[in-house]
Amino acid sequence: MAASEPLTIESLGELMALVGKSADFTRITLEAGANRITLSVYSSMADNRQIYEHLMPGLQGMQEKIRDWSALLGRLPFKDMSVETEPKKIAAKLQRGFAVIELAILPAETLLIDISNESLGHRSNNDTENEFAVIGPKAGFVENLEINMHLLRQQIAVPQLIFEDMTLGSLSKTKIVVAYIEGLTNPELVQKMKDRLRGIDFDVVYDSAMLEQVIADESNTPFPLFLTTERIDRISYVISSGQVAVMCDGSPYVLSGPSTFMDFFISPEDYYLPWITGSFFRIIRIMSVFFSLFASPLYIAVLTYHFEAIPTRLLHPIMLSGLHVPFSPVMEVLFLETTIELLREAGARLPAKIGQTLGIVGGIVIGEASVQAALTSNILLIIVALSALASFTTPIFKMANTIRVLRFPLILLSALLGGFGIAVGFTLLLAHLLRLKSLDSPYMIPFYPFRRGNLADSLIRSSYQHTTNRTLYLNPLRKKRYHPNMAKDDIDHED
Amino acid sequence: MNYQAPLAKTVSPYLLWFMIHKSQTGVAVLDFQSRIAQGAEQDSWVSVLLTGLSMHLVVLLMFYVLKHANRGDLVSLHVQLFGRGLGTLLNGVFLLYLLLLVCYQLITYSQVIQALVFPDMGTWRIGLVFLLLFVYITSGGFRVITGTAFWFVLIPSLLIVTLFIPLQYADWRNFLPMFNHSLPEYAYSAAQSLPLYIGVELLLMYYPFIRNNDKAQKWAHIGVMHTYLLYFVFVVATFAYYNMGQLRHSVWPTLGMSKIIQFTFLDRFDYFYIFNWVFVITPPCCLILWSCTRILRFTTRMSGRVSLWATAAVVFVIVAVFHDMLAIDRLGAVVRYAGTSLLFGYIPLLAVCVFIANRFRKSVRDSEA
Repeated sequence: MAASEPLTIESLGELMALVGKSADFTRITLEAGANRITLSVYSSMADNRQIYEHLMPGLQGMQEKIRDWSALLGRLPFKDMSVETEPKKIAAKLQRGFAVIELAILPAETLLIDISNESLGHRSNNDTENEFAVIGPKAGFVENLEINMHLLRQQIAVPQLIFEDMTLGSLSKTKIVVAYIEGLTNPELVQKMKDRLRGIDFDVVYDSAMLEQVIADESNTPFPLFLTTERIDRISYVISSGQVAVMCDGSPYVLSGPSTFMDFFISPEDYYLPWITGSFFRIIRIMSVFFSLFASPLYIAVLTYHFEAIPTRLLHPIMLSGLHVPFSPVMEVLFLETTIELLREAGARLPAKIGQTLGIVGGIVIGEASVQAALTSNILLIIVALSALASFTTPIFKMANTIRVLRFPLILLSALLGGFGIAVGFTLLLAHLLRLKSLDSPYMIPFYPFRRGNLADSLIRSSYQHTTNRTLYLNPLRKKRYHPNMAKDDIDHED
Repeated sequence: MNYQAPLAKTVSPYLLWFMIHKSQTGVAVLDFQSRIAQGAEQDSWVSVLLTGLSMHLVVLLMFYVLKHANRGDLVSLHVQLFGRGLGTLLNGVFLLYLLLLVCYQLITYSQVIQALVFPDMGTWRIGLVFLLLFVYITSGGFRVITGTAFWFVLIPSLLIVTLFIPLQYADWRNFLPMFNHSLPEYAYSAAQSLPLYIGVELLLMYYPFIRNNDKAQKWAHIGVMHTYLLYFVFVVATFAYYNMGQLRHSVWPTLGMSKIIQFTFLDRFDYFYIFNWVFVITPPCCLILWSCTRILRFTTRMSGRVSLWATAAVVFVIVAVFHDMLAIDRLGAVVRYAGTSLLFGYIPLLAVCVFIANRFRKSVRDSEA
């Protein structure tokens, strides 16, 4: 796999010479007569308390007596100790915070002891601020893989939950875990996901969102093809419905797939609210996508080409509000949309408190001032602000960004070809979505290919009595989720 | 003998419904009412229905023919029945017919746009936008075309609801007196309604891409039925809304009807119809381009991508040079004649050929045994 392995280490001496250059590398030698014990460790990776409280006392005074490893193995109180001869493996473990013990009388072998400090450099909790839900759990994944596995296993408490690990990245050696449920998840999906991950050759894996792009079926698309989320409930839901999840050390985002277009508009909150309310909010979210995509293009198309389509009584206020604006509608729209994009981008880069102030400055001051300066019309300001608001209702930030980007080609099309351009743009968008696949499964399921069984939980979130089956496009080995509990549903049922 | 493409490239049999229906409905739905009314006048809805019913027969014959094709489509059947030389010639003729069909759709729709929305926009500009769109969709393969067909049956179907508004102004006495026309008048209307049903023959090309295609005939019949029921609704609504005198002077009766629809925020509802027709003509045109690509790849050495661009270029040139109204009318007539002779002349003939070939092969096998 690793075609671009950056360094090769031939011998133990070479390794020690190399790591010795680093300031955080510590080497302690205990000498007595002919024998000599050497302890090498990265102090930045290891738990230093363990070295001085348990390891050093165990080694002291042993220089004379020791003849082979068994004497030490019996004496030291650590869970993971192994004898290793291969320099490459020694290097790998040393990087992860193991202590390397050398004996002068056994020059080829070393003893590796696990004293790594896992909690160093990690936050212990994540309040899911990026995917917030008012109702439901607030805990999210963090940057530590061990903690993430712990969090997930707390929610899915069956031995069938399997974590398979692999290492990726020629420089970062990042630990990746593929999570699925044995006997439920279709083994083909697991195999496909593992094959795709194994096929990767990358230097540093920073985040699972990066993996998502590398393993995606189609890279020339603005749409995210795999769901990445920091919410635990979301991941346990997709795993329990038969998807495969991929966790990446150092990333609070867990990736799952195969995903569909609809997955990105579902919020876990839909399931915590009564189904009628939940469905209502979901429909609002989907409608706001359309609004956000087509509102400003329609404004341009109507005011540039089709003003006879508006009734006179409505045309009057629109014309009045744009009376002093010297620009064409498309320039107006582009000016306002760019302003909103600037505000959004600045708000995202700034610290939270300044970001809030910026929102007020941008939203009120710039908006009001640009209308008074006759740069844009009032009505357009309302439309653009509403469609910006609408685009942020999408629960997954990546998809919200996609929608914001897609407005611009539609704006250009409508400026060039009016309503005809919007129809063409919609067709292009739909055709593009139809071409997409996530882990070889069509992106537009359950609408095309049409799957009646999955409609119960798509545009609307039906009551739990109707979602007793798992999503069928994933081909789960167990189709039934739970018993519908229908008994009390019948008229005047008595038991 | 039944042939099916590799499973990963096929679509579910129920999609045949949408494919058949969608390949038939095109730009003709906008103006067919005034054309057919020239024959049997207020009774011409009978002709529309009867022509639609005859499509069941055409579908039956096509399925019979296709079951005996080596590779499951017309191009391979031609070579199989008539040999390499004559087969390739026939394929060329079929290719030409398909090209005419897609040009007809594009030119007629451009006329609508030029007459009602953008008087200054050249046909070549509209054609260029459409062809780029078609090439993008078609290069996604048959499954993507089927997907657009599926969606673009559903979305324009919402417009049927809006027919209720013109029907408030309906005069149902327009249908009286009933059945007072002669047979030639019905026949004239039937001939004029044929462009509504052209497109069903594309099944001859995509048949191998339907999963379990030998058992899928049911869905094809449902698709045909969907088509003529839809036209029936449109014809009845139009005849109830217009009287014969008005209809004779109406160029696009479907669009004319939609003009009565008004909302407080929208005066010209016909724009909605016009732009929805982008959705209506896209899937059949893509399917035709896809079929052309298949024919070219089968008969020449060009790859699929090259033949798709080549077809699109040829269509663009034809669309761009057609200006003369008379020539456009003649193009419509040629398409109508070609379609009629294909559906009611050539497909039955092909069925007879297949039948004879089968008999012959069987007797050879029997005599060998």
